[in-house]
This record gives sequence, C-alpha cells and structure tokens, in this order.
Amino acid sequence: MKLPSFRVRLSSQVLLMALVGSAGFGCSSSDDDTAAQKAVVDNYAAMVAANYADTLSTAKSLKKAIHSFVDAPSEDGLKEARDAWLASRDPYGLSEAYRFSQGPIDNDDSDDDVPEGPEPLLNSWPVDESYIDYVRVVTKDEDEKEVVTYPDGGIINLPDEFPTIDADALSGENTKHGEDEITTGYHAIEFLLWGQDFNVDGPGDRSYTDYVVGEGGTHANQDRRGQYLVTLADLMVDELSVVNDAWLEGKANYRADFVALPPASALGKILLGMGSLSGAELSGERMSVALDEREQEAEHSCFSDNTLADLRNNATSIQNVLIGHYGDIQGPGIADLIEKKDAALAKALRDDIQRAIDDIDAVPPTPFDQAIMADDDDPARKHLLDAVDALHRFTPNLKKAADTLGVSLNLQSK
Amino acid sequence: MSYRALLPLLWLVTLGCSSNKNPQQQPAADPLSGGEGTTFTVGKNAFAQAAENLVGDRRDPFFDGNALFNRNWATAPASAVGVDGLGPTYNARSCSSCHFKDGRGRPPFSEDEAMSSMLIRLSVPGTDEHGGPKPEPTYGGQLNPLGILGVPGEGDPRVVTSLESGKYDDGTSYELSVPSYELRDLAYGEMSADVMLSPRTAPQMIGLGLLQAIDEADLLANADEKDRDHDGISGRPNHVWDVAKADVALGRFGWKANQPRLEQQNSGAFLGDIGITSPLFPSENCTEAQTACSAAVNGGSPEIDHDRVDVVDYYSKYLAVPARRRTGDAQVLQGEQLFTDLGCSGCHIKTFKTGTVEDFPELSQQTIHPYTDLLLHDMGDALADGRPDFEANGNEWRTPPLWGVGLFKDVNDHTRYLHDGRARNLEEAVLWHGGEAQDSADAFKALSKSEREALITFLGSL
Repeated sequence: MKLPSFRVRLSSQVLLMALVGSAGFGCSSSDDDTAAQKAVVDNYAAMVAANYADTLSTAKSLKKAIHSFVDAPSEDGLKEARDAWLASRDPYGLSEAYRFSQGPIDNDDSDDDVPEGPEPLLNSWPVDESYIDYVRVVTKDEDEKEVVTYPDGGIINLPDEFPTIDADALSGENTKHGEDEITTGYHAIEFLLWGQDFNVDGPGDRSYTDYVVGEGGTHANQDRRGQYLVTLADLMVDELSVVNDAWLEGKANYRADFVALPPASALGKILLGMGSLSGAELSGERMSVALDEREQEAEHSCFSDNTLADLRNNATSIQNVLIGHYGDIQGPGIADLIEKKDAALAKALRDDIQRAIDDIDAVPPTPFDQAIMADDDDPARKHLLDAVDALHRFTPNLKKAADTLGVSLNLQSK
Repeated sequence: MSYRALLPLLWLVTLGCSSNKNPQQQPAADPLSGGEGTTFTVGKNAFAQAAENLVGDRRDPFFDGNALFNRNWATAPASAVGVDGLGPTYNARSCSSCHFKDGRGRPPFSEDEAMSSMLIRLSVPGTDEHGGPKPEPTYGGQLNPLGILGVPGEGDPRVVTSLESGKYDDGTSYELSVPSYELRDLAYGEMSADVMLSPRTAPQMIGLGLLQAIDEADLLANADEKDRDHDGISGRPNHVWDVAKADVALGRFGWKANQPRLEQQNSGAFLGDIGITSPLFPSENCTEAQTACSAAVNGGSPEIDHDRVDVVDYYSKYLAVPARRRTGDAQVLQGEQLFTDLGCSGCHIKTFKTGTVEDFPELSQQTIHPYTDLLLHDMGDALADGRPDFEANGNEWRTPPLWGVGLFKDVNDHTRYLHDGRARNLEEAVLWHGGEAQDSADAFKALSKSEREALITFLGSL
C-alpha cells in the first residue's frame, strides 16, 4: 500500500482521525519529541502565570483609582481612572490566547473538574448599556424633528427595583439568564468611565459630575452610579484573583494538572486557544465582522476608542504563545517544535502573525470606528483587511502544524 | 481518487491500532452523512463547523453569520447600533444561547431550574388568516419569559415531572419521565381557558441547507396519507404559509414542519425568540394588552436588515453534518439492520440525494443520510401536544433527522431527546414512540438485551 501518497490526498482532518489513536502516546513521537513538547508546555504555564499576575495587578490599580475617584469625584480623578482602565486592558488583551481551551478563564464545560470560568463576567460584549444607566434616546416630534433626551433608566436609576447594588446583585444579574445580561466587566466599567461615544474624532466624554452627589452633580442617582462602578472594579479583582490563583506555580491547582497532562494533550489545548483566537474570534468576530458591517460601534472598546490596542494585544498574544515569549520570559515556543518538523511551516506562521501585527500598527491614528466605515481603498481600512488576510493564512497553517506535531485540533475556523 | 473511495482504506490504515471488531467483514456503513460537506470534527465543536466543501471566499459569509448567531442583542438604544433592539419581551438574547454550540436545547433538569433552551408555543382553537395557529390573545403565539427593563416578562414556565415504569418483554424494567408544565407568575393576567401549549426544545443546526435542498417531489414520494400500502405508516406533508411568496408551501422545518424555508424559520426565530424585527417580520410581537411592550424604544425598523439576515441564513445552510463514527463496528451494523427490521427506517428514511440549488453548489447533488422523511406522523397520545399547527394535528410530529443524535453529550452535555426533551436517553426516546410507530416500539421491547444495545449503539454512531 502506498501510504504516503494517500496521505497527501487526504484532507487534514481525515488524516487527523488516523493519527488520533496514537497521538502523543509514543506511537508517532519519540521520547525526544515528548521532552521538547513538555518544555514548551512548562514555558507556556510560566507565561500564563506571569500574564495573569500582570492582569491582576493592573486591575488592582484600576480598582484603587476608581475608589479614589468615586470618593472624591474630579476631572483629574476621572482621567486617572480612565488611564488605569487603559493600562489594565493591555495585559488582559495579551492573555486572550489562553482562552477557548476549557481553562480557568472561560471553561464552560460543566462536565469536568475545572470550575466555570469568569470570562463572561469580565469581557462580554456588546454591553447592554441601557440596562446599566441612562442613555441618549432620539425620538421625533410631531414635525418629524429629532428630539434628544436622556431619560433616567437602567439599574442605577431604578432604586425601587434594584435597592441594593453589590457584587452579589450585579454578578447574579450578569448570569441570571446564562451569559445574558451584560452588566459587568471591562466594557461595563468603560461605559461608566467614558459614557456613550457620539464623537467622530474621539471617545465618549461622560463628565465627572455624573458622580458628584449633591450640588454640581449631573443626571440622577450619582451615589448609586458610584456604587455601581466601585462594585464592578471590586468584582473584577475578585474574578481575576481566582484565575491568577489557578495558574500559580507550586500549588495544587489547574496549572499543576495542566503540566502533568500528556504533553500532546496540553499542546492540543494551547493550539486550540491560539487557533480559536486567530480564527473565529479575532479575524472573524472582532475584525471581519466589524469591517463587513461598517457600523461605527461594531467595535469592542467602543466607548474609549481603544479597539486598535485591543486588536494589537490579541495578535501579540498569539505571537507570544507561538514564540514562547511574555515580558521577561523567553523559552521554547510552539514554533520551535514545528521548526524541527517543517521549517517552512514554522516560518510561515511566524511571518503571518508578524504581518498581522505590523498591519494593525500601520493603521493611521484614526479611531477604529472611522477606519471600519471608510471606503475599501482607505489606507486604514486596507491595513485592517491585510491583517485579516494574514490571520486567514495563519489559522489553517496552525491546523497543519497540529497535524505535523501529531496533536488533535478541532477548530471552528477557516 | 475520490474522498469516498478513500474511506475504506483509511479504515485499514487505522486497523493496526484497534482490534478487529468486524469479523464477518460486513461492508462498513457510509460515514459521510452530510455528503461532501461532512465534517470529521468530534467533541464540543462537532456541530459548529462549516461544510468541508465550502472553500475559499465562500466561507466568508459563513463566519459573518456565525458572529451574528453568537451575538448578544442589547436593549435599544445602544452604542452597538447594529445589534440593539432586544425584546421588548424575549426568550433569549442570542441564537446561540438556545442553540448552544449550534447544538440541541434541553428542558430544565428540575422544577427549580428556569427554562433556557426551549420554549412554549401558545394558541387558542381556530386558525389565523393563513391557516396557522391562532395566537393566545394576551400573550401571543409564544411565551416570552423575559423582558427588557420596564417591560415585564410574560411568565415563568416550569417543568414538573413524574415517573412511569414499564417492562421489556424479557422482564427488564425501565422508567420514563413524564413532563407537565406550569406557567407561573403570569404578568398580564390569566390566559384564555382554552389555551393550548406546545413545548419545544431548540434543535441542532446541522445539515439544514441540505434538507432544504431535497427536491419536493422526493419528499412527497414518501407521503402515504391514506396508508395505501397498509404498513401502518401514513406520512403527511404539512402545507404552511410562505410569507415572502404569500402562498402556501410545503413545510420542512420545525417540530411540526410548520416552516417552509430556513429564511422564514430564521426570521421567525429572530422575532419570536429574541424580539428582533426583520424585513420579513417587521412588527414587534406585543399584544394589545402589553402596553409597555408597545411603548418601548425599538432598535430601528427593521432591527436586523436584509444583508444580515442573509448571512445568518447562509450560516444556517452550511453548518456541516458530522461524520458517523464506528461505521465498521459489528454491533453498529447489527443495530442498523434491526433499525430497518423493526420498521424505524419507514419514517427515518436514511438516504436522499439533494437537487440542484442555484448559487449553492455545495448543497447540490449531495448524497446524504439524514434519517428523516420530513413528513408528519401520528406519534400517539402520550407524545401529543394537542395543538394543531397548520395541517399538523395535535398528535402529529415531523420525523426529526437523526444525524448527530449520538453527539449531543459531546456538544451540549446532555442526552435529552424528542420535541420537549422528555426522553433522558436514546432508549427512552425509542420507548416513547406511539401511534404509527407503536409497532416498532413494541418490537423494540421484544428484543433481547444485546439487540436493544445494538440498536442504541447504532443510533449513537449517527
């Protein structure tokens, strides 16, 4: 039987089926391979731990800034809180390649030992802002003239229905109907700090006076608004602490179980996270869909106009796992394993993720919302489309890489 | 060399690692349940794949549709202007919250759990102007348990179950879980005394475009309304209202085959389940009694535009059918033989060849194995909802496709079957069959334990 020629013709997934029985258990990979894979898994665990430590510490800074601001609202205090929010988004964005693999951040499989992850409480989008606070309502009068009002609405302005604003009430609200009510997390905090964005040239411009109780205060229920914001910040630190603890070294935790997995199984999880982010999530949901829809606010950090930074961090997150790098940590990465089996494939993966990052970086400093609404020949939009193309090359190559490494990878992606 | 021809070879390739479970050398079953688009993905994403034969740029709309399918809709007005307009009353915020991972919904596991991936249809005796169900006057055609702020949800449906026991012919006993429904905290007063309820779980999304691509004549060829062949199986087509064509059409989708096309099914679900108006259904579903509902701010008219409906339709057409597993396994093959011998295959028709669909070449001329005739059958009093739906009477249900039924556990963490998810596993699903399927269910009860296991193992391979 001419097996090699059959293999060439088989689709990658069929081939995968053939390999599945033997993957990682000594049939197809030598002891050397296993040791190299284990080194990558260990380095990955160290990266994840360092990244979540940064995520937690910046969230704590955000919490501190928010408490100070709400205690004594001021223009400067609001700016400090906004800066702290922006700073906290970087490590979180860099951590998103660790999602999608039933780990501590977003496990949604009730069947296994890992607790349900807090990701829906942390990063859900779009925010249901009118569920939280007042929003701008545009109606037409008898003469068909537009009338803009800001009626009191949302949990903040319904003290009779929601007498207490605390962590239990808000996290319960967030999960009352599955992952439904989007009332907590980064984007809810973003909405409370910036307000809705109706500016072509910049982000939302909520005034600090929305938090001033008594004289000088704007809109109603400033104390409840402050309480809501503080509660969200507290909740975020609590949720991130759980994830951080799950990855601490030397504890009986998820990390301990993860590094004890057969290396091929752990690699399967790592690749699933990278590929889900590069495919369905980043190039699909977060970029292509926004570019196709051409809606101003089909962008994720829509109140602060921080979406480009989010995209860059996500792409870098994938690159980090590929090359085994985070902060001061530099160790063996996925690319090193692929290098030994197929140097050209490793190079293609490295090049394409770098291309995606370069293209995102090359977007002129127009806000993302303007770039996605522009014509196809607009330079900003073109760079974003090129970044999507690079990710569209990257993801199938990652599938190939999984095959090469004898790792099972079931992605929903191009 | 074709894909199909390779598969027996593949089986030989893997033979080295597994034991030979097919000593009689029966021919293995065809694993390609969904034709050339069949996916070999297993596990949690088994239902979430694009058809394998959908390639290149033709995948782009699929992924746009996927994003919208997963998107949570927000209360209007929201900054995310394209996805606001939730409710005012609704069952869910996104398609995927009921069709989680494009999979199958389930009833609550206990009276204490809220209903989150199934719904309850409502109607009163009589018909609407097109022969469809007549909505309950105060609550409409479907109970929406949730409402946006300021608009009360309609009520809180709960499932209460009791156990009923029975015996196989060999003396082995079994228990079935019998559901009943309570509508608590009705927010808009009493319902009509003659209201009829029909509880329905969200079905898996796989292979729907292929089912739509089957030529009508091929479906009608299996209809036998008067049971002229005296096999005890009638098989009736439902004739329903096609809104876009403003005409009567053959029903294919839904538990009672009450939807003619995916385009209408999808827009109907956007409105009925999420409260999103569309070009096909431009009015919010607030009844006259629901004044806060009518007064609520909407997310534009309509809330989802034509282009976005299109990508969701495209997505729903191209979700791949997973390949069968263990197709050479002797027990699976024995089970499939029993499935035929017991008469199950009379309604759960294994194979169709799709017709030619303009602009959808990947769905055209595909040999598929859905195990359904898409026709209505009397399933007996025990399963009846007693609620007519166009020409379907209160005892009739559409034969559901069986492809993918072995993967619910992987994808959705449960093994609940039938229209209301009352069957707690495949065995119970078979046992619930009555009416036209009574003889088959009786024959199943008369099987030996190992034969029953073979049949269930076969179903699990689908």
